[in-house]
Amino acid sequence: MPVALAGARAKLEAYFPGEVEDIALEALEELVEKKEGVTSLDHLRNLTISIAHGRAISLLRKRFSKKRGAGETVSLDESVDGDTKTLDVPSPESQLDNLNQGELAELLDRLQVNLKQDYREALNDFHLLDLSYEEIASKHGWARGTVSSYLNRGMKAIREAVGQHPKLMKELKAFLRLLLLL
Amino acid sequence: MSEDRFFDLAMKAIAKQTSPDEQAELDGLLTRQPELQQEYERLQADARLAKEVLPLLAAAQATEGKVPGYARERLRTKVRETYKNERRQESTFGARGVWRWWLSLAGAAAVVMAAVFFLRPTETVVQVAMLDSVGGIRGSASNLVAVIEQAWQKPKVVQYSEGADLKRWMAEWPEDRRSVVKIVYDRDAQEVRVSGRLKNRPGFEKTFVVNQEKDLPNVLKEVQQFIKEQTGR
Repeated sequence: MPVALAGARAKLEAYFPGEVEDIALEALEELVEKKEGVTSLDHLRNLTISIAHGRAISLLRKRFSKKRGAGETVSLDESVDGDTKTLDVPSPESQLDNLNQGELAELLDRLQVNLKQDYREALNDFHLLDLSYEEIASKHGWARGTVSSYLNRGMKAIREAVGQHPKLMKELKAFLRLLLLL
Repeated sequence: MSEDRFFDLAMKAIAKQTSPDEQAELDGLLTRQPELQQEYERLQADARLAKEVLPLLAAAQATEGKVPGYARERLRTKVRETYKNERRQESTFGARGVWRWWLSLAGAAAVVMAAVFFLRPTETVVQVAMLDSVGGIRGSASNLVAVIEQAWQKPKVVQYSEGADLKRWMAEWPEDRRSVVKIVYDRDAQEVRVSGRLKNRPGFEKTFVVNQEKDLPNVLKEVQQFIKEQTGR
């Protein structure tokens, strides 16, 4: 349950926190049917997260679609921006959203192995907590150069994990093309 | 200009943490070395992905949160339904033992559903045999077979009257890489012997004494417990 909750929360907390528990429960029910192919606790956790994440994405799409009018397929980014209230949250859409549960679980499996704990902490602090290099160094008692090194290696580990995933690579390339147009 | 410096500047820019001087330094670099532009964009894409994936990785470490009371029964029902379907199809100890364990926990806890998945129906195979060289004199073995079958539900109990046949059976292990547990009730020696060959782990062996046949159900419970411990389930 904690993993399912956290998986759902990662996507829904900013938009529909009240739905987190329901989505987590739905994910657990779905998980019961998906036992084939699960070989380790780590994979089970990642599959749980993937299912919760997928269900959260579906909910977001549905809710935003309703706001815009049934039957209309719209970007979640547009929905948020188009709302009268501008939400100060990261875009709910990501390259991950188009992966199926198995693919996302596989990616997470790979990252759990490749992304060492120190790298993960450095990346978390930098990308999610918006800490500066100096703040991260101070927090962990690392040298500033170590922070740089961990971030660099962590980003490479993510890149390598994604590189082994054709669908995600395609998404990334599309994103890069978009960047070039801007 | 080292690669490390470029990386640091790029990362700071992506996180909007650059000072005006650092931003100017980065802009200058990108102008002078256009080939860095591609790397910069790639880092932007990677950073975007990192922001998405890091919370999911963190979710795997989560330990707080329980199945709320109102949902427990719903979840139990779901597991029971799935279990029923499993029982129709499978006969291994793994499927049954773990599902039963899961049923007992379904309402109470977390994603301890783990074990349900570890023991896939085909993963641990239980084979059961009984050696009874005296047979009729001691009375029918059918009740004993029923007791053993009840303990593991489906596995068919192979009965031998010759030690050599049992020895041959003991020497036969499936060639695939499944974990296999062989259980022998040696009625002559009044003991239950257990041997396991596990996938990717050391095997195990143990003998359980059956002082009186009426104790067999209790001994089999001990055997079940032992197998669970050995298989980690």
